[in-house]
Amino acid sequence: MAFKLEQGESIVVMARRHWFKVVVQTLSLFFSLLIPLIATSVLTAIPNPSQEFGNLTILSIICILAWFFIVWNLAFIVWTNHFLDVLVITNKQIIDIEQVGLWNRDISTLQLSKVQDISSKTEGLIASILNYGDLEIQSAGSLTNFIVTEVQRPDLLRQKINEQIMHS
Amino acid sequence: MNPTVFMSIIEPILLMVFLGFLVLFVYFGITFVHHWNFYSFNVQSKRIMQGLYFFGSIVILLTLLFFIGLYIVGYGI
Repeated sequence: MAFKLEQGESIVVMARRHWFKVVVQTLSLFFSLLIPLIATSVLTAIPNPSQEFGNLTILSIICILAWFFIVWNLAFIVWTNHFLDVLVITNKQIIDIEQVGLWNRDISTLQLSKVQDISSKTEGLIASILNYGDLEIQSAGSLTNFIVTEVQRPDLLRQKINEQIMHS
Repeated sequence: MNPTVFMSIIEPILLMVFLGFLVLFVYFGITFVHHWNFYSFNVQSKRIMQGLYFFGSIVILLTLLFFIGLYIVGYGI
């Protein structure tokens, strides 16, 4: 794992960004599969007397397959990024793992004893229906605030963190 | 344009594109396997995702290679 738990520390809840964003990204990738149709129509419109440019139908298929391969990889990148972004709440600390691209990872931790204020924010129709939003955790002193965006069930997470602060 | 000249340009381009995709496939394959193993999530979904990625990629690449060959050799469908 990207983090190590201390002795006597246990994971209370793990949360990820809401699936809605992944679905939207995947759907846009799916619709981008229509792009090669433009390339196909352009290629087939080229006058090709006596097969001057070879078989343009096959060239169109090659373009389509090349685009399929790019989209296929992009879809897995989207899914992997979604999977690797995770918020872990333990009985001692909050760990936020943010995957930036494929090989860059930011991991921030905040001790529960340093938490001063937690606020959750749900904005918009879709976010309200699907129950996702932002979670902002203010810490004591000059430490920067913890902001987790588009997380699933922000109210429940706020409640869980509060419960853990009370217990600790 | 003379068909021979055109084919002498397009052939290496197509082969380079294929080789580029092959390199991409190896790169992304290593990346995904590393990440999915590193986070050791649900073993069954990991296997499914890895299988899906490799199977899909290999099928697309082999089909691509087949059509590049078909184009270079000059046969129609």
